[in-house]
Amino acid sequence: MKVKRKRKDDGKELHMIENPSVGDRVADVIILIICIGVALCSVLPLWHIFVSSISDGQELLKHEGLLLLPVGERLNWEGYKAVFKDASLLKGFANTLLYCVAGTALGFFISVTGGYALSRTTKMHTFMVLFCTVTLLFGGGMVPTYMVIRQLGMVGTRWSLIIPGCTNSMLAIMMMNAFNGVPKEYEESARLDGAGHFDVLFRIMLPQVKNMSMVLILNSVVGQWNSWFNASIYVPNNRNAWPLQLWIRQMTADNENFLLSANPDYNRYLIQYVLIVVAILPIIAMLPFFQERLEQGVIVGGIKG
Amino acid sequence: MKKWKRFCGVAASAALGLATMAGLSGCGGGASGSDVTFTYWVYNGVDSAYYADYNENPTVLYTLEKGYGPEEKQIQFEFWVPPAGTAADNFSNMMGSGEYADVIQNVIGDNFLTSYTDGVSLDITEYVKENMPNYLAYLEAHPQLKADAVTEIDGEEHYLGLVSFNEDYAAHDWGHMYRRDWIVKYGTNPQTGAAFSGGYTDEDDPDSWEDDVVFPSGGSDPVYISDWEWMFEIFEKAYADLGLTDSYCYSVPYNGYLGTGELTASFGGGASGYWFRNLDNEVTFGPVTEEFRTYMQCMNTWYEKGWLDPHFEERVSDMFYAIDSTNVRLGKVGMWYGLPSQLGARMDAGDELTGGICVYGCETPMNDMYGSEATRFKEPYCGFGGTLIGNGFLITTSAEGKDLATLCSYFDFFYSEEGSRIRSLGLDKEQVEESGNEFFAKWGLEDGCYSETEEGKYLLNQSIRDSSGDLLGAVSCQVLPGVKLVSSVDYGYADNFQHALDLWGKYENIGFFQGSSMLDSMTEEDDEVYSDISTKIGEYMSENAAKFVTGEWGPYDDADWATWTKMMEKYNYQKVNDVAQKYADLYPLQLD
Amino acid sequence: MAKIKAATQEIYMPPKVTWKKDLKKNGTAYLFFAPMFIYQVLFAYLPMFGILMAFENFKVNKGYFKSEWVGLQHFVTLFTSEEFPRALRNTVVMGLLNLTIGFIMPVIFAFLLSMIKKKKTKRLIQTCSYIPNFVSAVVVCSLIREFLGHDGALTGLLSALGFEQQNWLANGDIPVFWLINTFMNIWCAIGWGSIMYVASIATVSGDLHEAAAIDGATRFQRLTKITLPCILPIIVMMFTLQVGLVFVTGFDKVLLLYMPSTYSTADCLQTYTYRLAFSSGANYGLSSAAGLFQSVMGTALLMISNYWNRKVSGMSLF
Repeated sequence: MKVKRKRKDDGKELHMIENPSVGDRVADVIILIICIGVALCSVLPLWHIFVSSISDGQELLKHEGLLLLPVGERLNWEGYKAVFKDASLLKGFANTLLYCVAGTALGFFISVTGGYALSRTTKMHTFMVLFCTVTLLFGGGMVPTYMVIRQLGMVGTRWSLIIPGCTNSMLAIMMMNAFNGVPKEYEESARLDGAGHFDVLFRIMLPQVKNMSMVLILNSVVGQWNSWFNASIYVPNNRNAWPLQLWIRQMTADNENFLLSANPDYNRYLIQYVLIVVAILPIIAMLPFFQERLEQGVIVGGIKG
Repeated sequence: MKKWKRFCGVAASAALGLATMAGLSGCGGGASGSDVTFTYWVYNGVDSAYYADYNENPTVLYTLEKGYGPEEKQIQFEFWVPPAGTAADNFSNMMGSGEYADVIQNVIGDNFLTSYTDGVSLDITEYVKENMPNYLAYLEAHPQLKADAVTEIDGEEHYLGLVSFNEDYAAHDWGHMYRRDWIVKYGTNPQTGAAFSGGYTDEDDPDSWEDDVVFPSGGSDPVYISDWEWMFEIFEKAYADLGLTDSYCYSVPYNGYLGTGELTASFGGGASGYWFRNLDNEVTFGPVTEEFRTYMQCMNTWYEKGWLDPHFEERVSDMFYAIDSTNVRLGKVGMWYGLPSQLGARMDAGDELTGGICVYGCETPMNDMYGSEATRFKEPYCGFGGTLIGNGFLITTSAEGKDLATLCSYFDFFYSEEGSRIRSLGLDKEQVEESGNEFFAKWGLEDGCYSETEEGKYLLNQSIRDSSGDLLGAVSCQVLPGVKLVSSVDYGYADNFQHALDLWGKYENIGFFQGSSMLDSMTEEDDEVYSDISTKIGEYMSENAAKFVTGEWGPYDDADWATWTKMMEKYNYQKVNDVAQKYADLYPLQLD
Repeated sequence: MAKIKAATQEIYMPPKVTWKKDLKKNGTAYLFFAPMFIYQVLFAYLPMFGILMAFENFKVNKGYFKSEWVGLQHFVTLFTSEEFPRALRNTVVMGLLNLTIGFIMPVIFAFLLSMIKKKKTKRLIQTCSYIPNFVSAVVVCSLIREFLGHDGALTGLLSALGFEQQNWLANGDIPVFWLINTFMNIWCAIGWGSIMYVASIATVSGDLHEAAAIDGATRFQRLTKITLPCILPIIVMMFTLQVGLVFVTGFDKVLLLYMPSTYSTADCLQTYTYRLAFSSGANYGLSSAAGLFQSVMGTALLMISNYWNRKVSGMSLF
């Protein structure tokens, strides 16, 4: 750990040794401005949604354009109260958490082992890559997939949300590429020490592709977090197994036609915004944790070189 | 520090692992194999604010407490309700995989005959005749509905499914509406030239408006296109006075006509269902009729005068044709196609443009000034008018061998007088007490969902009337077969409000195929011809009809009109005319 | 430097060994592939009987194996329909725009991010840029509609630049809709798409940079001479995959944004067949035929780009 720290400091010193020219500084500022611009563009819409969710419903209905501050006389939390009135959403949260953990773990295992096999120089290499690529492009469609999963006895159970969507060829190919990027000497020296594929993969290679692994996990977690379609197909009647996003769609749809009623409760107009906030905030809050991991990869790289 | 971190990590993973195992062990479960337990596919459920699972419907639970059929047996349901917006996918999966529910609410499926010949549904003739006296009695009393309930195979009558009925044409939930307050403020009496007067008699009652408005046609409601144009001129005065420069008088959706036929149909040609039957029972293709051309000429005139929404072509995806809800809510539009929640003073936000607003509903107008004489003064008969037939219900081959006699007896209950009340309105006070379900108290329905009025109507409970969601949908059980009460229900609406609903439903749908028995009885091949050609024509119309409104194609220009009709001929609309005429002859128009 | 070359120039020539030797040496590796193999067979290959639908007059109730066989009829209908050339052109153009501008933007963003020195600033910017990835297509499209509508904020900006005030989404001229679609996709993907590149750039050895800096290489030189070659394999691989998927993905938003007045530039194969499949008569066969056509096109493109890559850079997927 200490060694790593030192490396980090070295990195800092490097920038200090460098004598930044005026051009460099201008470039720095421009880069920063562009990046901040991108960040702002990304944040504004969500901010719009957030302030909408605490606005006055009737006023909001009339408002057009981007919202920077909530409309209405005071902050209105009625939308949030309505959404959390019963436990459905919380149950959805718990389910989503379960699917994220289980699906990611399983998917990670399959993609890593699969990616490793793909990355080795074997006689079957071309076949295996083609085998995976075909499924990227060709699919049987919704009903046939459903029929297969029903035959496997998964329909109506939580397994149908964990196993079928846990990985895909894209992830395996990404892993394959990451393994390919690891210099050959590592494997060769391990081989000389008598290590088999098992040791090579888990002892030597996996630590070298920490960053790509993180990307993979991140993608998988986010994919599980955003997924609702599979649940709507495989567990429509088992509401105890519904993930968060399916509840969110259901509740959004339930509140869509409130304007039809003779006595519209305008707080119901806020629910769609509240639901978006509820769906996005937890995962956004989680991202910096992953990022920290990604940045630690820099140090690993430092040792490697 | 490092150890502590590692420990935390291990602990966290262990906890998550345990949670995973615990979560997964709760998987599985399925229907019990009992012969009185039926799975039941429902097209859509109710607002999850009331209950998430249709199996919790308090009224259904109440009815299931009782015994039915010759043996007084109880039955049980396991409702399958697809998540919102996924009904079509869900249905495809069910059909494609062959795993049918025992009972299917047949909203998007094939008609009875096709389902039966494809081996999806059962012939239940025997059970209907044995166990469904109320159903048969209803059909006996309404012979015109028989075509939808009975299928003829080799000259014999078969019941291949159940049909739910509506007691009467249902009130419309939407329709045209206009700024009555502007008429009062800026208009003058067309006969005497005197100014109008009017206003709210009760500040807190959105339906208490009273005035002395008279339209050029002589009544207090607009009837003709000329009445509308008279209003548009008044709206223009209003815009000038209010300093509004970006306003317009009438909001129409993008292809220039309403999909429900409300406006188009007033000119006598159908453009939204494309085909209709005229009063001589001849199947006619609407878009090439002179009436439709006349309609386009009218829209074009309005567009040129600035009376139509100049951006109508860009407004594509709004619910219920409430096309420009933003400007409507801002109080900038004079006339639009709207919802009950906009009537009276309900849009008053106390600002300059909506303060003192009064919105009145009106009927779809009759043409009295455009086109040839032949196209004028035709009473609309091709609007979307609701039907006397509700959904169909299939009992599928999955239910073979189960106790269908008891099931049919149970369903038959909802065709009885008491049963239809329960189905349409929920439980009355006594039944609520008997059921002991806490749901009713929770939503303020201790006194029952309805009460009987002096005129013998059923008045909905105040809580149901005030609910901003669909509480009625949650306490009734209209996903079951049965009769729906319409005219015997008192919704407790104020007079002005009720008047608007009445005007929206003033003209009955006679001519449109939609809602008639014709489409239900088409054979598979004929249905394919019909849907294939209408898809292509719909494609073409959605892209080009608006050109007549904007003047890109002149509705008065014979060459442009010829291009249009030639394309229609190319899509072979005549073929549908021929195919559909067979069914039109089989089920002639029901003229009262 | 030699090491980088070795890493970037992977050539997958199967060694000339016998099967027996290969199995002995790589048996475990094949075993590692087993989970992936089973997964693919179960959830990807078995359901492929659904492709039959493209050749049948599919009836939901009759199923995949009993529906009437119509051969290539759906393909004939598809290729001869009047809207097909237009839909194909729009699909190709929008796909190519996504593949070029849409692909390069996250890469550039990743480079820019990697040049920000302050860790905290960088992390904050990155986190912000991920947000659009979590916003559902429906919401994205309603925001776009709001911003590019007649009185929208972006429309105002464009008017200030001398363009006519208008609802940009209703503009059927070339290339308005194409650009809207491209930039919308970039907005959604720029942050999330850059993660992998940021992660790869982070693994580039600090020592190499150090050495180069001491040798007097400028920042830009280090970028093009060290960072870029190091992450080129990733970029090339992602690009190759994207080429194959170019006509398959990213059209759900078109469906939410287009309107009859922009069919001329916005209507693409997916939206066209969607309309055919979900309007009055469901024509599953036709839309499935269109899907198959796109898959075949994608495969062809993937092969070509793979071949080209092997020729030019010596890197290839298979």
